[in-house]
Amino acid sequence: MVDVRLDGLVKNKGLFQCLECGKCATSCPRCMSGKEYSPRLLAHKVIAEREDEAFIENAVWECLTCDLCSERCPSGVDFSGFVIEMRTLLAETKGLKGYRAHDGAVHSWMRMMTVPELKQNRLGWINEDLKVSSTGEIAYFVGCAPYFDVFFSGIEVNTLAISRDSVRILNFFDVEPVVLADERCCGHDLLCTGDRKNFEILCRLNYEAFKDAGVKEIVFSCPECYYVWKEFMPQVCKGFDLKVTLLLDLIEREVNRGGMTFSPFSRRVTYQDPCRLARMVDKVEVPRKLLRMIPQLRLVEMEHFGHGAVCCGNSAFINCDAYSKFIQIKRLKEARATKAQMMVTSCPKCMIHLTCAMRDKVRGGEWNMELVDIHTILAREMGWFKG
Amino acid sequence: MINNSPNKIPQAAVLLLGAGYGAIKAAQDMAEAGKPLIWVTRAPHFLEVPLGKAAFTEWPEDLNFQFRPLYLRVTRHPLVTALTRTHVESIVREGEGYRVTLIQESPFVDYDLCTGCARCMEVCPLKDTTSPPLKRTPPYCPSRALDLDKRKKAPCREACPLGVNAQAYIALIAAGRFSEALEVIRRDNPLPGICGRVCHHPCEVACRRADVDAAVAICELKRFAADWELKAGKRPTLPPAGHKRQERVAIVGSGPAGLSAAYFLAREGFNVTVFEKESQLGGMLRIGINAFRLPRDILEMEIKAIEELGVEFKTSCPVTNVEELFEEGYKAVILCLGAHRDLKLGIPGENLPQVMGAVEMLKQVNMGSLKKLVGRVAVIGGGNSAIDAARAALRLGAEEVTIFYRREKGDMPALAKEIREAEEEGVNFTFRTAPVSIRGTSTVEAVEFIRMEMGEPDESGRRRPIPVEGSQFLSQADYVIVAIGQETDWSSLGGEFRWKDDRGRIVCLNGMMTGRPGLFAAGDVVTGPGTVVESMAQGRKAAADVADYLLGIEVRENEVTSFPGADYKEVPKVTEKLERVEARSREPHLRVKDFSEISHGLSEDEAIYEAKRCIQCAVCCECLACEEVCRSIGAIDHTRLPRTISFYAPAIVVAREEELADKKMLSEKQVHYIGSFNEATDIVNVLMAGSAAAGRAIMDTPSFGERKKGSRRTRLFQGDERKIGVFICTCNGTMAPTSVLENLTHLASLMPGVEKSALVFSACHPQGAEQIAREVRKNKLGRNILLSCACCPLEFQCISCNDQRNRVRLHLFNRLGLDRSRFEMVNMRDGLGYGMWSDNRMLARARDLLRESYFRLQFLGPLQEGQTSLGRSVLILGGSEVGIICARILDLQGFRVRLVHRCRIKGEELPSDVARRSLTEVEGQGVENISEAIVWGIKGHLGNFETRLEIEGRKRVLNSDIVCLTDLHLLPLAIPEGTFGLKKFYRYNFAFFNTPQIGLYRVMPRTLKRVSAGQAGAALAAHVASAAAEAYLKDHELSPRVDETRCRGCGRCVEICPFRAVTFKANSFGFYTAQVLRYNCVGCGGCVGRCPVTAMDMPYFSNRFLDDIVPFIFEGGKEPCR
Repeated sequence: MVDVRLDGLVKNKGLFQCLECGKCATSCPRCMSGKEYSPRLLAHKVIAEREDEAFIENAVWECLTCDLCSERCPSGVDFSGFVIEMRTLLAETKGLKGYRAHDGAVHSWMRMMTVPELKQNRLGWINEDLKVSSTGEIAYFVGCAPYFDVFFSGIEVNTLAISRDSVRILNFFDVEPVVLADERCCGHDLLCTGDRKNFEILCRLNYEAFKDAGVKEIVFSCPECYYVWKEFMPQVCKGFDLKVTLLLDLIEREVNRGGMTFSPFSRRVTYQDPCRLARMVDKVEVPRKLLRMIPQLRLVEMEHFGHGAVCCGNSAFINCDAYSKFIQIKRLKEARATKAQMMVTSCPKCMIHLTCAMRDKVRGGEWNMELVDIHTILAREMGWFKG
Repeated sequence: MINNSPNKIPQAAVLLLGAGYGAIKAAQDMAEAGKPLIWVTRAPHFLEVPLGKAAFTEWPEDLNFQFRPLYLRVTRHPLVTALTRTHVESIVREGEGYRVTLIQESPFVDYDLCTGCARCMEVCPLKDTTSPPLKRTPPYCPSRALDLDKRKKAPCREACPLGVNAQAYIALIAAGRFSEALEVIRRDNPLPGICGRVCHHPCEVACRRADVDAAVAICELKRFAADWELKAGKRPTLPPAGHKRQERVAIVGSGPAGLSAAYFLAREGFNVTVFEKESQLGGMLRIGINAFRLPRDILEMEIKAIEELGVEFKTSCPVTNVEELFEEGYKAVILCLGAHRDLKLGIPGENLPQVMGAVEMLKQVNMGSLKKLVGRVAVIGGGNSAIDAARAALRLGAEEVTIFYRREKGDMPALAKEIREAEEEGVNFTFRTAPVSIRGTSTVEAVEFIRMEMGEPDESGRRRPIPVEGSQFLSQADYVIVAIGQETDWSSLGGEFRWKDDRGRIVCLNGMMTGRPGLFAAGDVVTGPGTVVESMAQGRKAAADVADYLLGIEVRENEVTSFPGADYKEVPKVTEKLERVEARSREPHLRVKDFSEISHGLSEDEAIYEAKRCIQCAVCCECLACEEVCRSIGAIDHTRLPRTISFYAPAIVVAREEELADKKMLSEKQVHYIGSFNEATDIVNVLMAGSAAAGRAIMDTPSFGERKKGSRRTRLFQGDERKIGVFICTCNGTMAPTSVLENLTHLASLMPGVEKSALVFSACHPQGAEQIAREVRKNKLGRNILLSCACCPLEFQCISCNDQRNRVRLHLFNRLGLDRSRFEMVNMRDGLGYGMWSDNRMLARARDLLRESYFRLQFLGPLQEGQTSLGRSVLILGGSEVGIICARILDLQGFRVRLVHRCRIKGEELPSDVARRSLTEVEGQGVENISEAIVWGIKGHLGNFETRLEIEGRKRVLNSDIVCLTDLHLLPLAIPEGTFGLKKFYRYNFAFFNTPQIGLYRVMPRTLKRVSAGQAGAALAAHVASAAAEAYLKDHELSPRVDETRCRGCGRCVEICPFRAVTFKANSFGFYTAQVLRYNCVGCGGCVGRCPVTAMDMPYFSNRFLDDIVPFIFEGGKEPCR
């Protein structure tokens, strides 16, 4: 049974097309940080040496699903997709494995949200100057920021600023988005750690909740949430008919209509591409275009950028270790090398992970850099053209 | 206990005097520096401020709790002999030090044994009163042992000739525990039913309740207890003898003295024969006391109880020759002949047949030969016999009974109650009259009396009656009963008896022994006519003397059953007046018609009410119920004596001058006073002062004490890992009902691999621990579960720890050599809810705990102790007074000291005050003086510091085990104050010189604000000495391991560790990895919980284990036990 499904996976995800050229391994940030792990070897084992179960089971949990290997693969193997499905398969047959950072607390709160009766109070962050509503056609999907800011208060990240600024931007365009008090996690981390069952429950609960609020279009600032809603919701929820919009796309659309202007922001900045946004949904240019519109802002690129950007070191809160830190420091060093004064990203998780790395007690100062979300900058500098 | 059992008090030790926080700090520093220490306080424990001083009351209570771990560590330190409730008797010069003599008050509760189970508190009859004698020590005192409040013997008990513990039986009756009350009475009095009716109760005279309202009706309460037993359908029984002896003892006479002697001898196991010349037993109890006062069935039953102990009674068996008894093989004879012959008036007409002695008359009545008495009866005398005779005469049919007494009513020796009852029954009284003659020829017709008037008081305190001339008068009478006293009837013994005096009383020469060895006497025959209880006391004394004589005991050690010092509890001033209960009795007109008992005694409610009136003067009533429940523990002993301890003290540290008899001593050189503090003093001052005093005391005693050489690693018992032992502590029966624990033991025995599962009466008790160790060794158990109150097997005390938990581990792992890594310890006590839950629920819970611990057991494995060697070289940077004093003290201690006088950090100027400092070379064998140097940097850790210096233009690297920074301008060399990991310093270590780097010490400006430079130097030296006290640093075997591939070097672990046991080391990625300094680690696991990426892991309480057990618990894993 497992074999049948595995065969299906190998076929669907294009593993047979593997040429064993090794580009995946040499691009894999984890492999390049010294971890004994290679996408190529995993592919080989799954195709040819499937009896080495121990190896396969171990290696499947090592991947960051950053998709850089797929990006580089000349044969179009969807390796990240393969790993995600493999994890689901292994979790179903062997139980949830892989070691979870923070002792699995993040995954636990996500699983807690699968309880339909759960009542959440997640709107405490909405300031008086923000206008939101409980019903309407356009909604804003907040994501895990209210939880992150509590859980990661120790490293002083402010991911809720992203949510506030996103609502501010929507208000700017005269949209009073629907924000749900009982919105659930999008389930991305559960999906990527193999917990497909609970992932689907979250999908359905979310879908029902937004339908009940009369929503027709949902706007996202978080790349992971956007990726999940765009790619997986139609698979999971039958008759899915909500319009899914990335906030950056919406801004770009509005900007193109004209009449808007940006106040000058005299900074040299560099942009960290989130893997979900850059590679999984191919939004490399939109953020860059918006940043370049800001007068006096100078965008400089790191050594690896765009589709080839290096991961922030972690995904789905698994496998956080010394190698992750190595990747993060490498990334921070790249950023420092650009002599940029500020690093801009568009993903709360990039922000959390890179901030954590910067909080190094001993050498933190060497890598420290101002790290700001793109929505924050846009919300601050955006204005109507006053002729 | 573990190290300081009474027999192991060291011959020589530093004396530390007084409780308090400064003393704790001084004790810690000295003990850790290897100085044996005897720590003494008058207080019941060392946290309390003694002598009622409340100087530190404004300190937050949680401070006390913070001291708990330190307190536990210090008081149970192997070098510390901690003695509470002890005072200094004398301190005299001896050689270079002092000879100290201490007196420890009777330790009624042995703190080395007390498990804190509190069974004693449960059974104490006074537990619900306002001043219960047994209390737990205060919560901040981690032993939580029980404290017994015992005063001198209660006055009622002192007043009783037999010494019956009235306070105890009153307490037990008040608590509704009547049968136990009776047991207490019978310890000293075999005849409670009799004495409860006829005793003249001197106890009530002594009763302090009379100061409030009226004395407690003690006698009635005793009677109530005896009656209660009969009502409950039981017959009186007495505690049997422990063992039998061969010797035979004869007792002549079965009166109160004889019966009492017989009982106490029988209890000692002797073969006793009682000879009674009358046909029925009881002597004066039967002959002289009316049946309506003392029913015959009571008398017979209580005598029967004595007979059942094996005493042989021979009635109608007069003894005519004492020597014959000895010839028959009796090793001792007690004469309890009593005083049965009535004294004569010596007036005309006394020989008429109607003139009778009172005893003679009562004997005829009570033996049944006199059944009727018609006419008028004159009774002469004022004692109990007169009243008894008069009341008997009424019941025999006399028309008129008059008692003639020569003094006032208040002078009558008869009991007031008896007089009152006689009056109620219609007995007439005529006072101040004495008979002159009895008129009549063949029968009595009248008695001639003379009036008396009251003169001066005589030797008895009563006024002497003087006849009034010419006041003679005649009183008609048909019978005259003479009740003016009795003497012993010597007729049966043949009249000629060597050992009596001219009044016919036996003279005892040695205790109760006459001049004839083996011949004893007791009762009225010795004292003249007395009361029942006095005679019984005589009998008891004689019995004791007989036992001593037969067993050849020359001098019996004084039995101290009372704490001599403390005074009685105060008579409560505001107590509402409670009326004394009097027993109800039959109506006078009915009761005179027969000889049935007239008093009904007390009802249960009345008895409890009356008993509750008791003040409980001595607080502890010594009912010994607590001793009984503590029998297997042996912590409580009401008879422990104070002990005297003498030892040589090379130095004395005084924490409280009040405890020092001679305050002048404080100025002597080897006496170090921690200091007096006022309410403005804060804790840091006190601790600093303690440390400084310890430092000076260490300096006084350079060659004293020991430093452990080489490895202390002992061979620990390993066993076979496949064999599992399960030990369940019953905590002296307070853990859970026995059936639950037995069930649990059985369940445990069914678990795979379990070789031995056993109940332990108390795991923290030396013998309980020995039982575990014995089983572990016998069955070669390689892995063990101990379900008790102890939560972990670590060599560490946290804020949850208490003395008992600490002791379990000290016994098992330090004293008995078991391996702590092979023990899974579970705190079952907190989980079981004894008293709230049903047995089934408790068993289910206990079973769960057992299952979980069994599950955890598979993660147990042998762990090795590592060690880091540590030398004794110290580098002191800065030649201020602090540095110089510290260097001197350390040099005397045998440290290799290098002292850099003028020292500056590279790139900085030497401050002008230091530059001007005159360089005094510090003399000493080991001190290497370096006048000037520039410090380039300090690297390393305790035991291995490398200090780079520039001396006279040449660079040098100095290696040392410890570095001290004593100049303020050098402070930047220490890791700065704001560094993570520093904030919890004071909480756990109470050390002021620490830096985040163990082994690198500094003196802060704020320290110098509090104490003088000299004190700071001494305290720093004490600190250094204690850090280097052992030749190696022991690694903590259960400390976490770091997975270097996972560790992100985020520093959370470093931050949370209060023990500075986690540091960083560089890794191959260019950043840092956490590293556990295992000699600093205590294995608490705080860092493991804090690690965001599970890079830290414990050896057996591991993440893998947690991963496994959580689903096991929530989803129901495979059951290890059925």
